[in-house]
Order: sequence, then structure tokens, then C-alpha cells
Amino acid sequence: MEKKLRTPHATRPSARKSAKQKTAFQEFWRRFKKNRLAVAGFVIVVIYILMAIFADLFFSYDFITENQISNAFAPPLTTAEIDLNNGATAQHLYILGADNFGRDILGRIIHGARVSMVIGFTTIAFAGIVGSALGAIAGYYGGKIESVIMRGTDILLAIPNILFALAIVAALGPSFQNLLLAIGITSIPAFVRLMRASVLTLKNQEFIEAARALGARDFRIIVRHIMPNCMAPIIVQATLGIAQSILSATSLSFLGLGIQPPSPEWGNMLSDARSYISYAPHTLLFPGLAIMTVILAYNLIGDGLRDALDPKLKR
Amino acid sequence: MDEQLLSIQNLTTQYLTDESVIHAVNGINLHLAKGGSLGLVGESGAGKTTTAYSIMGLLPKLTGKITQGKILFEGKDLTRLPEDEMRKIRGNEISMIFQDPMTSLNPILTVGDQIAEVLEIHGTADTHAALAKAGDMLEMVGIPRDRMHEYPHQFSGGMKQRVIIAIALACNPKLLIADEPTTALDVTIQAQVLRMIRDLKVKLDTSLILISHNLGVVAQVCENVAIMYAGRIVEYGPLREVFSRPLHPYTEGLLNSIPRIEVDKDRLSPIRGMMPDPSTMPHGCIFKPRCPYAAAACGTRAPHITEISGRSVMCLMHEGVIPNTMGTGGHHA
Repeated sequence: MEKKLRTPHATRPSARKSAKQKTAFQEFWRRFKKNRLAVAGFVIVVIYILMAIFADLFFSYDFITENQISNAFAPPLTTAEIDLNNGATAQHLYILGADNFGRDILGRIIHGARVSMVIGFTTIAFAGIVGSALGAIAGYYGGKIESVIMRGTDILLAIPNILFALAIVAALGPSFQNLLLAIGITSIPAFVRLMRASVLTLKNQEFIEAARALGARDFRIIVRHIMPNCMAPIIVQATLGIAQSILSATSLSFLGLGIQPPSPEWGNMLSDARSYISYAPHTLLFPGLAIMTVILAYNLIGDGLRDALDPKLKR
Repeated sequence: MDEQLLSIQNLTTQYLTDESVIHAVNGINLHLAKGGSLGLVGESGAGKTTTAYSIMGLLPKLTGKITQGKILFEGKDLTRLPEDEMRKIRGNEISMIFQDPMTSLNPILTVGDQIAEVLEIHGTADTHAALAKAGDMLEMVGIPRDRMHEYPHQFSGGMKQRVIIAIALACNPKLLIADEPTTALDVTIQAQVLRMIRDLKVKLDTSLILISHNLGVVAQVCENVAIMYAGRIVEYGPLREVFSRPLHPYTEGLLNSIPRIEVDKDRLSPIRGMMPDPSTMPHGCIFKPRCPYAAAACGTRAPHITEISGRSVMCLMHEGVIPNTMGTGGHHA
């Protein structure tokens, strides 16, 4: 009997494997591509990421943090004389103009992108890992552990994000690490709830029971069988979460509790510029546009991913 | 007599809910010799799967409880074994095959990984050797080795069930519990899978408990059969004898419900009524409300197990309390 069944497949080339796996990703990409806006968002994010990585190639950090008071409020596309550190002077084209200290706004936006991207990724990586783990534990074990974890996240959710972050930064002092910590913690609840909900639907599936019948430990069941099956909504939430984090960071910086001047950050650029809104609107406009485009781009990607990954990716 | 591999003594399993206690399994006795095969037959809700879960120690933690009895596996009482020890037995010495192959495999792991996993869990082999063994197992169940890198959705239902069998047998268990392994498959595939289970059982010298509501399925594979009704084993004996000369009215009823091509009959005779509610068991004989032979005594006196030449049965007719009228069709006929 075995032989008879085998013959139809025996000649099947083993190359089949790679072909099939590619199809899974291609299928996802095909669906994602259909959403033009999501692709646009993806392109924008890639541009910002490249800007962040290669910021030093465009402008040196020293240059964009040093005051050139004589060029203050230079409008976009003006060429002006700048002082170099060694006492010499040079001509410089202010593409997006200069701020109240005569610093190049484009340069500060590019270096600000670095800060924003780092904040976005690290806080969400932190919140995603901690939140997913807590959510998985709550959903899998239930009972008292679940109550404690879920009530904890309810409490976190009841406090406005900015207020909570403010409290942490106010208590621990405004530093980059504290900012990351504050934003990271406020991002956790969304992941906990999402993961718990997914685990609850998964945990009664027969393959989980089967894994238990094979003698697998709870840890293995959660990490190897449950969590990978919950990835689609988590990926979507992470993408949207990055936008939220960046927004929170800029808000805190705007309030003077995030990145401290003269370090460039979009929020503190806005904060510095807001007194001059009628006199030199470009100092406010461009950082604002930078924030808007990045947030928009991440949200577009998030929506595109949601469509492409859900209903569940057919693998 | 052969050496006993599994010996279940007076096993009683209950589910505790807020409102009531569900008497799922009520004091059953079962014995399985090394290399033997046992069919567990009964309607839905008779306690077959609960019996299997009790053996595996997989009863739901909060509600399921073994309240009495012993499950001796090679002399160890599984009901008293700590979870750590139990985990070493599960998948390694006792394996279980679940009903629905469509949902029993993890959709995002390749079948090779899933076979290898059980070997890794029990430390039988390192990752590399485990994958090689996974390929061997696949070939053993008639699936080409190079398909081990594919995902479950790329397999048909019958092939998935073979993969599950490969997983269950990978550690060469002493006992395989197959819980309705063919119910979700169509008839032609059923026969293939059953034959494979039987062949592999012989090849690997594994003992087998086959759970089914289908007498035909059990007939193809098992030496002995236990008929379960409302959490009790009402009849137990060698398969051929039980089928050719049933001792319990319920067994007779089950056999009469099967269509037979050689018997000219306009209608099948189903067993009337429903199984009693497991939270409120009737007094006396549990089968009395549906039994065509029932007499007044059946309502007050619960039958005990009666041994008759290597078979056992729970019926007052065989205790001599009421006249034995088996085969006449009783008063419903």
C-alpha cells in the first residue's frame, strides 16, 4: 500500500520547497502592493530611515547644533555666510531656511529623524516583547495571573499616555533613556490585550492540545506554538505603535521633557519656533511637516499590513 | 496471560462545574496486554475521550478530576505521578492521535519540524538527528521524505493524519491511544489509515487503544473490545465473540443499528431514547430506560460485573436476577 501511495509524489523535485515558501511571501507582497497608499507610506518611511542612518553624510552634528546668530530666521533657499570653528567663513545654502539661532532647519530635521526613528523602534520593540509575553501568559494560564496582568494594564490604560510619561520623566529626570522608558511603558497595554485575545482563541485549538500530548512544556507551547500564530495582529499594532511613540516623544520634547536643546528633535524644534509663528512661519512649518508625514506614513503602512495579513495570511 | 502494560482499576473521572458534577467515567476496569489492541466503543458522551484524557493526564486542570481508582502503566500509577514525570511519559511512552487532522497540526511549522519536535522534547535526538529521523518517519507512513519541508496546508486530510501518526510514533511509544482517528476522513482514506495503524502497530510492537463510535473501524484493527455506555464498560471481551454473540442488550442494539447487506430488512433498528444525563444518573441499571429486555428489578438494582468465560458484562440477566431472554428482541420487538 505504501508503495502505491508513494509513486505519484516520488518524482516531485525537492526544489518545490523553496518555490512554495517564496509564494507565501509573494502572496503577502502582492496583497500589500495592491494598496498604493501603503506602498507610498513604505517609501516615505524608507526615505526617513535612510536619512536617519546617513544623517552625518549630509550635515555634521556640530554644524547643526552651533548657533549662527547672524543668520537667524533666514528664509528658505537663502545663501548666507557662516562661521566655521577655525575662524574662517564659508557660504551655505539654507534650503529650508534657518531657525531662531541661525541653525539649518533641514539639517536639524534630518538629525531629528535619527532620534525619532530610534525612539519609535526601541520603544515598540520593548513594548512589543514585554506586552506580548504578558498577554500570552495572561491568556494561556488564566485565573489569578490573568487578573493581575489585565487589571494592571487596565490601570495603565486609564492614565492618559502623555500624563503617565510626564510623571515618569518628571520623577526620573528628562534624559533619553527615561524618555524611552516612559514611552515604552505606555505602549505596553495595547500589546497585552491583543496578545491575550489571540491566545484565548488559539489555546483551545487541537494542535495546542496535541503539543501537550507530546509532552511539551508550557514554555515551549507558548513560544513555539502560540506566539508565532498570533504574529499578524502584533505586526500591525507594532507599525501603528511606532507612529504613536514618535508622536509621544515629540509631544514630550515639545513640553520640554524629552530631548533637550540644542540636540535636534522635531518636538523641541516646534517648541523653540512657536514664539515666531507669525514672523518666521517656516521655522514651524517644516518640522511640523516632518512629523506629519512620518506619522501618516506609518499609519498607512499599518493599514496596508492589516489588509494584507488579515484575514489570516494564506500560507 | 501476557504481561499487562496498562491496567485501569475502578477509574472514576468527574467534571466539576458550578452547577453540577458530571459523572463522565464511573468506575471502569480495563486491561491491556503488551502488544495488545483494545477498541473502546460507545456513543458520543459515553466517556471514551475522558478515559483517554485520564490516561494521558490531560484533563482540564480546573474542572476535570480523577476521584477514584488507579491507572497502572507498567506498574506506575499515572494518577499519582507528578506533572514532571507525566510529561516524560506523554509523547514518549504513551502517544495520542486526535480526532481532527485538519486542526491537530500547527499551521506555521513544517511537518518535518513538527515530527522532529517530539524527539527534541524527549531528548531522544539532537536537532540534526531529529530531522533525519523525521524524514524516516514520513517515509514509514508513506509520504516522500522531501515533503518534510512543506507546511500542513499543503497536505490532504489523509496525509495530515499520517503525519500525525508519524509524530505519535516517532518516539516509539509503548502505547498509542487513537481517539477517533478516522472520523474526519472519507471512507476510502479511512481504510488506508486504519490499515497503516494496524501494520505499524505490529511493526513497532506498540499496544493500541482505538477509540471509535464505529464498530466497523474497531473490527478492522482490534483484538478486544470494550463497549462503553454512560461512563461504564457494559461489555468487554474478544472482538469476534462480542460481535457474534453479544451479551449486553446495548451491544446487541449497537450491532442491530449497523446496516448489513446480507440481511433483508426494511428498516434498521436504532436504540430508542437517549443516553442519561451524566449529571443525574438513574438508579439501578443505567441502560434500563432504553433496554428492550428491562424488567422491574432493573430499576432498583444496579448490575455488577459478571465474568463469563473470559468476557465480562454488566447486566442483571447474566446475574440470574431476571430471566435471560437475549436474542429474542425483548418486548419492544
